[in-house]
Amino acid sequence: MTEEPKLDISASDVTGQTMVNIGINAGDREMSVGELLDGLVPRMKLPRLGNGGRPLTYHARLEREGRHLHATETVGEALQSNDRLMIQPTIEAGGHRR
Amino acid sequence: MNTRQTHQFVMVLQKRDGSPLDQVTVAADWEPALEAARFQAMRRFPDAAIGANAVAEIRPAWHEELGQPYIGAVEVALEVPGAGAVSCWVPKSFFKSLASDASVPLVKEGALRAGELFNYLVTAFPNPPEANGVAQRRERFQIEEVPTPLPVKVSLLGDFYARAVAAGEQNEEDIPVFLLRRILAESDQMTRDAGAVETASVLIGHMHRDRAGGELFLEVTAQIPARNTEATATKVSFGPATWNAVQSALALRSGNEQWLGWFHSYPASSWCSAKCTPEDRAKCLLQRSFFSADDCDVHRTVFSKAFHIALLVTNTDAGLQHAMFSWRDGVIVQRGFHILGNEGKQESAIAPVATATIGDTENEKTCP
Repeated sequence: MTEEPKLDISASDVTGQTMVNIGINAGDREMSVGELLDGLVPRMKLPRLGNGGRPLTYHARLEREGRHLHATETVGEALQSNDRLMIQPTIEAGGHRR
Repeated sequence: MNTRQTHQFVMVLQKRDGSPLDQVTVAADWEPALEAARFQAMRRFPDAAIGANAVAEIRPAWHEELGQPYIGAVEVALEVPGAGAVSCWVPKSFFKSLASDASVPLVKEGALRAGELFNYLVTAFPNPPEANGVAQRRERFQIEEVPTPLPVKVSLLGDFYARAVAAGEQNEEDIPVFLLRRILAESDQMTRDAGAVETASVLIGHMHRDRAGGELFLEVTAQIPARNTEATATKVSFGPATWNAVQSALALRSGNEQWLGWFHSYPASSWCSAKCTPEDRAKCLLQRSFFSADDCDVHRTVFSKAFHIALLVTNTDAGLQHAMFSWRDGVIVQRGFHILGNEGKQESAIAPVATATIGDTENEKTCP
C-alpha cells in the first residue's frame, strides 16, 4: 500500500500581499473546507471578530477552477497539490446605524 | 517572523471619579502593532529580508507617573538578523476599542449609564513560565509564511514634492502619500453620483523608495470602483465579487500596480432629517467626518499593511469634505497627503480636509 503524500497548497489574502504555504497531513484530507478556513484565518493574521465581537465571514476561492469552495466540501476531494486559494472576506463599511 | 510576548495585559476600568468598575484580561489583536514594527524595519533597512528568523518581542513600557504595573505604551521590538533592531511604540489608545467592548456588560448590569464616560488603565504582569507536560494540540496542517516584498520603484521624492500640494496635517512618522488630482476628482464625482447611498473603490499604485534619502512613499495612480458592492444609505458591503473584479481589473491594466488602500463616501446630507433647520444640520454630528467602527474593521481585515491608506469623502450640506486615514504605530489615525498634478498651485476646486473622529459611536445616533 502506498502512503498518501502530504497535500501542499498555498493561500493569499485578497491583496496578494500576505501569502502562506500550507502542508496538510495525509490523514487530515477528510477535513472540511470550513474547518481548514477556521484554522487558516487566524494563522494568516486575519481577524475572526469585528467590532462588538461580531464574527467575520471568509470564503476560499480556488484559483484553478475560479470558484468559491463550499464550507462542506472535503479538502481531499476539492484540492490538489500546488493549488492556490484566495481567502476573501465579506465585510461592511459604513456610516451611522439607523 | 517569530513573536514573543513577555507579559500579559490586564485592563482596569474606572468611573471618572476613580471608583473601580472591573478588570479584564486583554485579548488584543497584536497584528497591527507587529506590522508597524515590520514596516519600520522595511523603511530603515532597505536590503533586509524580514523572514522567519526575525524575532519581535511585545513588552510593556511603564507609565511615567504611575509606574509598574501600569503601562504608558507597548513596545514592539523587532530584531532582524544581519540588519539591526527597531522598536515601535504602540500608544495606549490601541486598547480603546477593547475598553469600549469591556464596558458593554457594565452598561447592561447598570454599573455604567449608556454613553457615560469612563477611564481605563492598562497593567502588565510577567507571563507565567510555560507549563511542562501540557499536551500540545495536534495541528491538522502546517503553515509557513512566504515573504512577499512589495515591488518598490526607485524615484526622487523631491520631484514628487515639486509637483504636489499638501492637504491636511502632515506627520513626519508617516510615509508621504501622493494622490493624483484626477483620482480625487473621480472620488468626488462618484460621491455626487451615488446620491443618497455610499460608494467605494480600491486605490492602487506604486510604492517608491527615494533615491536620495531612502524614504519610502506611495503614489496612488488609479482607483478601481467597487462595482460589485451592495450599497445603501448607511453601508457598503464588500464581498468576493468585489475582490474578484478588482483582481481582474488590476490584471488587465498589467502595470504592476499594487493594492494601496480604499476610498468610500458618506452621504451625510441624506442622513440628516429634513425637519432640522439649516443651523441645526450644520451642527449635527452626522455632518462631520468620521471613520466608523465598521470602517476600522474593513481597514484591519483587508488593508492591514502598515502603509495602507483609506480616503473618505463626506457629502455634507457645506459641500464635500476629504479625510485620509492610515496606520501609525498599530493604530488607525487621520493623516495628511499630497495632491499631485497641481504643478505647485493651490487648487481651489479641491474640497477641504476635515478633522475626523475614528472608531467612535457618537456619529451613529439616530437623527431626530
